[in-house]
Amino acid sequence: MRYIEHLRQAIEDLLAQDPTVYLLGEDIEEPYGGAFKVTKGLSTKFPGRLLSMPMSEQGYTGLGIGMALAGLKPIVEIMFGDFVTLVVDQVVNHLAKFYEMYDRPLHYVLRTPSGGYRGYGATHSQSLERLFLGIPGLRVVAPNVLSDPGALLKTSVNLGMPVIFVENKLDYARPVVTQGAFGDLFVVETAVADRFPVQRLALPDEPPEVSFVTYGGVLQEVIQAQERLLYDHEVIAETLVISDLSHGRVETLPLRGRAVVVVEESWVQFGWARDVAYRIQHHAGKPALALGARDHYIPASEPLERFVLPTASRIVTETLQFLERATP
Amino acid sequence: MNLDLLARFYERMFLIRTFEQTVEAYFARGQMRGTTHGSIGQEAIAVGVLSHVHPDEDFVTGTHRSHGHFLALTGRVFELASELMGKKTGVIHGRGGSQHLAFGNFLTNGITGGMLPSAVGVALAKKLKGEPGVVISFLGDGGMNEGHTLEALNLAGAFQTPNIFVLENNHYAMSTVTERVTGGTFESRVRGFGLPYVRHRALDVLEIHRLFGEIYQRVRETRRPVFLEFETYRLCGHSKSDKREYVVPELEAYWRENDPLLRARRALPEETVREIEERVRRQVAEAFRRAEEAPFPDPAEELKPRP
Repeated sequence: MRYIEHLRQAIEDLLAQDPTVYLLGEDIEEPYGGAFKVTKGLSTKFPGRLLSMPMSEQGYTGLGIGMALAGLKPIVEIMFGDFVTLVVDQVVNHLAKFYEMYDRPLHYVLRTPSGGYRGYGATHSQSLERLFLGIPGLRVVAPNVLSDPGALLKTSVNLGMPVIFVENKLDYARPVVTQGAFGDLFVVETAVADRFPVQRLALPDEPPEVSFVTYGGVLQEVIQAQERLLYDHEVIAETLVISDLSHGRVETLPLRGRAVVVVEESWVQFGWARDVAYRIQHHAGKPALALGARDHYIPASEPLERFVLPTASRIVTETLQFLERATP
Repeated sequence: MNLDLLARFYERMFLIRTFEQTVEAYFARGQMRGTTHGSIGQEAIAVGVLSHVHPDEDFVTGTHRSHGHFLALTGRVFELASELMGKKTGVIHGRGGSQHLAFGNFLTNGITGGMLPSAVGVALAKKLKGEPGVVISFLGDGGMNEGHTLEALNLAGAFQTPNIFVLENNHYAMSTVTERVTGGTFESRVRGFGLPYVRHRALDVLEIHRLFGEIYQRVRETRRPVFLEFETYRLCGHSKSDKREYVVPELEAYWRENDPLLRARRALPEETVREIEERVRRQVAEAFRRAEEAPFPDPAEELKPRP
């Protein structure tokens, strides 16, 4: 099944099994079924459970918070991840505070699709989940093509704490492989079994020289880099992909490489990758590099966009340089 | 005039004022940390409005200026004094302080107007679940110019939720005279969202009680939103550090003269007033003394790891 089908099936199961689950968002009802068609068909199957909202993101994000306070389990969709700037106050100063400061169990999931590489330009391509990382009382979860997005969504809805659930626009159409053969070369296995698992993509038998750590849609570039390193440079790499970005235990990831490259799609300055790389280097004692977007807005033109965002070729080049520097 | 009811309301109003004055005195002596937003002059609204609430069915949201709302609703002086002192015996064990209170179906927060989207959400949930009760939300004139307030009013109008919005228009957004920074009127704005709008000058607690009782019953029955604006006045600073250099002299003079608390006081027998005031002064002094002696919270108990 494709990523989008996992999500749609999970939402359908949640609506069928739990009468307290509601969906809120723009254009989510028929005939549109959501800007990315995640909820296609569902408003007909579950009348009254998908509530179409005005373009009033902070208003309906807060509306969902009130529904959660009243014991419902809202799944709130923000059409593009870029628009989360409009809801930061409701999420940070209300949702997170009600959960932690007021000690109220809240079932609340804010779904939003992130990411670029599509030529949509500066305000429709960003990965702004970074704004919520490190805010106490929030969990940031990002599915990927190696972890079942539907299972992660169900876990998030029933977690009892607010979750920012970061989907990826390009991943929607991609098939999901959670165990076994991936392409001709690699094998997927669970590296850390958890409600939000860490998945490993590796050669079946050969120990890797370098470990990639990443999350979300940029995994696609990382996998390509992993292939090119093997074919063109005879460097064996593995990839660990994380689904719980608030994961406090990256220090204990089962990394097999002697060096680690952490890749995120967003800007590397003050970002997730650099924080994870720091923790791996200082607590796991392995040299670690952080890679991400360059310090510019995301332009529309393809060569410009691919200059700013991390690409497979840049990951290969910088990984090889890093391995050379990090040779004992 | 129902003197028994007035005496009961006066006692609660005097409790709120005595509480706020005691807090001011503690801050002046440097005996309290943080900040505080007093509601001296506005007590009649909290008391008149919240006298109708069914605490188990209804939901109430406050603001950063909600000591009065909390006391009108619960009468729990010791818990509120403890909260302001950061003590374990506080409303939420000292984790919130003056602006962040949570007690059953009563929530406040420190972002002006920020509770309104949630308030509409609670009301929508009531409607979806077919539950009784209404959601009463206080907001200030400053909060009326926030985007989330206008978005919430639109949502209440669009989804016809059982909300009662209670605007306490005290004329000042901190030090800014709200009228000078507001385009159009609040009334035209509210009506523009399709909400019925009622305005009332909040001078008489019995009159506020009567008016709100009508609106409350109407919203319980119709399950449709109503917006109520009270003209009122803050006879104290915005917060602890406010020297009130901005006041408009005519407004100040009018509301000093027409302070709803003094108005209620004048209507009651002297003996009743004396008894009430003595009782409340003892109650507040005792609550603050006990709060001072209460223990501080333990981080290990209050700040738990995430699941």
